[in-house]
Amino acid sequence: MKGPAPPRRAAVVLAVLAFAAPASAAPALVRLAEAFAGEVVRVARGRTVEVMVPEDRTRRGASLALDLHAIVLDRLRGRATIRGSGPRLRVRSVLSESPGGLVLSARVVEEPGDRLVDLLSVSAPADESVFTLSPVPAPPAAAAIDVRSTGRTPLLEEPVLDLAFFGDERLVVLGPDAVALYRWDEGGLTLESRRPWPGHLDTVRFPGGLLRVAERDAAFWALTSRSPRAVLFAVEEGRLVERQEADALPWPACPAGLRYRAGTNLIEGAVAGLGPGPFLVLDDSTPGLAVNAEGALVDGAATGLAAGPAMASLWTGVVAAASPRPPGEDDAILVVAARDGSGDGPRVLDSIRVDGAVRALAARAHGEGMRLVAAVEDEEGAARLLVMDLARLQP
Amino acid sequence: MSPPRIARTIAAPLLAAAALVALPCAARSALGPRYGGVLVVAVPDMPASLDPSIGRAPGRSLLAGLAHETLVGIDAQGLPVPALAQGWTASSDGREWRLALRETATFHDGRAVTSEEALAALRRFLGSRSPAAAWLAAALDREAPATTPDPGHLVLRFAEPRALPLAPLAAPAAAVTGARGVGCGPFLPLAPTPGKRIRLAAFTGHVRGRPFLDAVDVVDAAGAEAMEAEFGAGRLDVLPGGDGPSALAASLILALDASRPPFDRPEARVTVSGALDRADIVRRFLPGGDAAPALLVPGLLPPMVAYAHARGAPLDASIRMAVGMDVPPLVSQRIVASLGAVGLQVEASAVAPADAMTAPAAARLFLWSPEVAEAGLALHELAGLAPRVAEVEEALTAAGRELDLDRRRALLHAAEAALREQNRLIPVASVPVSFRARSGVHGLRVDLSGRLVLEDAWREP
Repeated sequence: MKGPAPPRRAAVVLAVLAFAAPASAAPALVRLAEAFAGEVVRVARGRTVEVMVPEDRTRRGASLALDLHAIVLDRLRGRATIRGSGPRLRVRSVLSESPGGLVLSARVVEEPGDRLVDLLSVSAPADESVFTLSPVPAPPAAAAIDVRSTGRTPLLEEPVLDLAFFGDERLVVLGPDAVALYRWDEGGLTLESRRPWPGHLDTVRFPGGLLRVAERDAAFWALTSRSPRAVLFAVEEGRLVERQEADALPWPACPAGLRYRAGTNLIEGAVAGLGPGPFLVLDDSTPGLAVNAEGALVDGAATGLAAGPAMASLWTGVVAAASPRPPGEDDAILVVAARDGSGDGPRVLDSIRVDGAVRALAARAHGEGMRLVAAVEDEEGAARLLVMDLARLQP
Repeated sequence: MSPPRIARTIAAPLLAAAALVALPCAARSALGPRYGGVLVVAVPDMPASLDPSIGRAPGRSLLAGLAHETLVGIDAQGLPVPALAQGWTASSDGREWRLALRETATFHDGRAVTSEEALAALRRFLGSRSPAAAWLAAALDREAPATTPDPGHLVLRFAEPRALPLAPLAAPAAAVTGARGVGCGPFLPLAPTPGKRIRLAAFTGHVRGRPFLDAVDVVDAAGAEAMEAEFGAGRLDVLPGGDGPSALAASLILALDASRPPFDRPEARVTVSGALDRADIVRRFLPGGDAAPALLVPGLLPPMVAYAHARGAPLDASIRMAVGMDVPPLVSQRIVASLGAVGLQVEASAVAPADAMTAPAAARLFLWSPEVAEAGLALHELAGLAPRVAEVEEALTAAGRELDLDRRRALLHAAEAALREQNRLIPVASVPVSFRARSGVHGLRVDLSGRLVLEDAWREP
């Protein structure tokens, strides 16, 4: 294998955009209108037609049906005679929405007389961009952290299980099927190498994954709950290669290493200072902190704080963690101060609202500040990376 | 056939092929699905066995979905999706369909699911009383309907090309079982028969992965008051009815027996249909319902232009009406009043939901959800509730032969209209099927067959 194929390389030159471009409202509606006009022409066979404004059952707003009607009339121009009186075929339609897209169904009757001539139904696959704008949300007023810039990538090809910086210039993205290595470029991230996971993969409903970087060796360990083996990947001539496999993921203060509980995203292994597990989150950049299977942040003792399924160290004694907000709410990245020398427990310093569910976090010093990368999933399960440059407002 | 039509026609097989490598997609949330925990679910009708091929009451449907798995599933668009079969291919003439079983598919006892068990399940299914089985039996080639060329493949042969020919295999009654009825669903029953309470534990070897919950307890909690008390005491997590997970998945139907007076006269049936104020019934008594007078819920067959209801001449007759016990009493009272307003004296009697569709009465009022959430099969099933009518049969046959999905939908609309215009099955409203769940329980889903789906359910810590 000689690196990624050109189309994939082109596809993953990810521009980190401050704001996504407003979406075009055209494609799905136009496709629907064109298909419908074609059906009307087929049924009319040269006869005069009257096309009524569709009855809107999509609840997306009245303008959708009006726009659709206008496009249908435009597409019928020159192909059918349109008239609202005299002998004609009257086309009455209903615009509705199915999980896959828009559906326009119609009765065609002969006027006068109301005799049914035909029933029509056309559909157009959903085009989310028709309806959804996706700007990066403005961060809330900062308390302890200044979010100096925020950008996000287009949608990635697969979910993200874990993230890790690999030196200053690279980012490792662990997915359920493969490991990918990206390089930071001026405008964003460029795929350098992608390596499918070796061996058989188990089916896991909601898999977990773990990365541990060994920069001195130009390598990193990776483990997912779809595989019983941990794999050491190295980078040789810009390509990911498998260097070693192990029964468990080597981990600091955990002589037996880490494994996943079969079929879950729960990490098993006794980590000194953190207890026997199982854990939802362990991150080697935050030794002494973990999220247990109950979603509680632990540092050897219960801290009273709950956290979601991701964590990364920002500054000494300060970590970023996914929030534990329940479904239906926007997620947030919590900025948490670890237990200090006085014995006070961890406390939340700040939170950064994000649009979606935070699945993985990685952070690294960047210039005078900190670069934080979050893998964020939307409601459909599609992931993108959110890249934030942070500065600390308080010591 | 125009190019776009061709594209839509071949889309389904391509989707199936793509799904060969697709992973299950769990419901996403900020907190994320969590593994662990037990959910206690109440059913009003605990079945006596776990056999998937008997009956369709809510308790049996729930247990069948937990303990058993089918070769294919049905997605939200009514298209077959892989389940125990990881994909399929069709011959060029569209008559032979070759299903590839997942290599990882195993029964709860650890044995691999092979084509031998799949064929045995198919034969049992074809011999059952399932409407989908009847459709499939009529569509398969009589000489050689199915073969197993090797342990990993099942081949079905059809008499002629059919639209969505594999959809019947998504019926719960088509579940594949192994020795002594062992299943391969997401949860493993810990007792051979349900009794008053049965625990089912997460099955790590399920084809879509181990479910999030460690276990589900299904308890027999007959009676709304008893269930409410258990819920209030914290001993139940999910029970039927309420403002939790919901889907517009049931049709409220008034069936008239055209062999009995006064409904042997078509004009009498027109009078009954015209007497119902659907919008008022929905507004007052069926929150979340849809008053569009269609026999199928909008999720199965997208809405069509509403027909005007003719008002027939007044009647002067007395009839008996069987009412399913799951029909809200206020709704049935309102309908009795509406029929009284056009001269029908109605003696209503409550019957078990499972009996309401076949009870011997001049009129029957019942909630109906399809066995398989696919519009064509659903209309076939409905058509079977009334004596066969040539126009309906012709329309359904035409839809079954149409391979273009858009054109097929138009033909299904025509079949639905033909069925409805007989006024033997009069649609009253589409009705939500809903459940009540304890706070912190997520991932519950109600499918378009009205079944509660628990395999993606999870609890907050």
